[in-house]
Amino acid sequence: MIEASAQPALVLHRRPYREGSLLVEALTRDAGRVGLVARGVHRRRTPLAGLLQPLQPLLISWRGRGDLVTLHQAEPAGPPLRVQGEALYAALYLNELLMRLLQRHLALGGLYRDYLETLLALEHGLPIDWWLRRFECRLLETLGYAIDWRHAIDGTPLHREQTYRLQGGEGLVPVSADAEGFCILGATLSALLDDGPLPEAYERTRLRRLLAALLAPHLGPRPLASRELLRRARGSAATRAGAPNPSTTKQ
Amino acid sequence: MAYTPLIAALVEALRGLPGVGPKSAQRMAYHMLERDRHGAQALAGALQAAIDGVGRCRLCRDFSEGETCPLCADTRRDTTQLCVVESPSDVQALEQATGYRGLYFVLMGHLSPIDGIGPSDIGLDHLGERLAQGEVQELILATNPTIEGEATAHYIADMARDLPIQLSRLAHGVPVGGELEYVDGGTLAHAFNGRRKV
Repeated sequence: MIEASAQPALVLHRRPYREGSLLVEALTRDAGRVGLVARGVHRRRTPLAGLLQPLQPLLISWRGRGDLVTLHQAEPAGPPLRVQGEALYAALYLNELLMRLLQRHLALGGLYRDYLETLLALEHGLPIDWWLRRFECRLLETLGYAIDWRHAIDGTPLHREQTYRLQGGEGLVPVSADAEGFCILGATLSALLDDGPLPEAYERTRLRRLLAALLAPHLGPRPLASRELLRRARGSAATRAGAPNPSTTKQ
Repeated sequence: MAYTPLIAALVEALRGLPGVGPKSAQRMAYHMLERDRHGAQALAGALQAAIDGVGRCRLCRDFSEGETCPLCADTRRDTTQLCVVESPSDVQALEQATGYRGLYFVLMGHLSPIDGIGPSDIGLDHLGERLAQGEVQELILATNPTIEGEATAHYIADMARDLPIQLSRLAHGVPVGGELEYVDGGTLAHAFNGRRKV
């Protein structure tokens, strides 16, 4: 019998389950990802369906045995996070990433805190891509898939001005500034790990590709659908910022 | 309990319906076979006819028996207004509750990356073409107030950004006749943030 009461949690995903029930996947603070069956959520006077949504900090209680447990109680732990626009795609990306990488009932150290912190950053309109990279980095570390971010493969500490390349998913090797492959400046990694100043767009793109390469073997062959949404948002942002779109100039 | 093969197949088929468990499926099957064979015949006929005859409307993607549904074909409707909803039952709900006289576009779902549902799976490429034709002047985004519904609305708004189209999103609020004390926090927060001048 597994039991928990008033456990801080955030919903990652939900889908209808049998008649009038929901199957809810949540990330909890102490129990990792939990699969919960929530019964009778559409009955009147029970606002449960509205409550059991992503971006709503919750306190939940459950009991049960086996992989799926029964949701016993859920109450809000605060107002829903107001994540809007493009940041919503980022939140969907985080959820898809977690659903794909986390096993159920595996306690995960500070991952819940990292996740909540990232959602709060999205709510406050902080640079979306940078906070996603930060989370990806923490997630890799939590799951034990990370490389040594502070040293090259030969054990020497990274230099800020030096370019490094990801070597076979195992670690970083110093290369020349114009080398091919997944490369990054030492300073960019240092900013990521120690909350340093935001690197320029080119370095952030390189960082995105490097982290994607590290995540890829664990995600399997099926692409993440939410990455498509983020890519599209980047595309339309670039159109708005760059040369005026022919369709808008004629008026 | 041992059913004969045909009854077993019938019970199994009925169980596929929403809200029907093994017990109800058995009751339905026995009822039709014992007392209402004519009704059963009619049901079988209606099912077959619906499966053969009901397709999708070319314009709004709602269920339709012809190429266009009666609503899209109705010349009295305002073709400059288009309301985007997630499901056919949303069209029914809005038709009954509001005096809306424009047209609809039915997504038959919402963007849901975790379930692998992307823009083209809910007909957004089709919607984009329709908006580009220029007849639509006002687009009403009536997707559900869930995170996926919001993401879908944002995606569509982004598609229409560069077009001369007025965009609006359904307001979230306190139910009429409700009491604030009993409204859930999420709805109340939305209603509060979306308050308007009086």
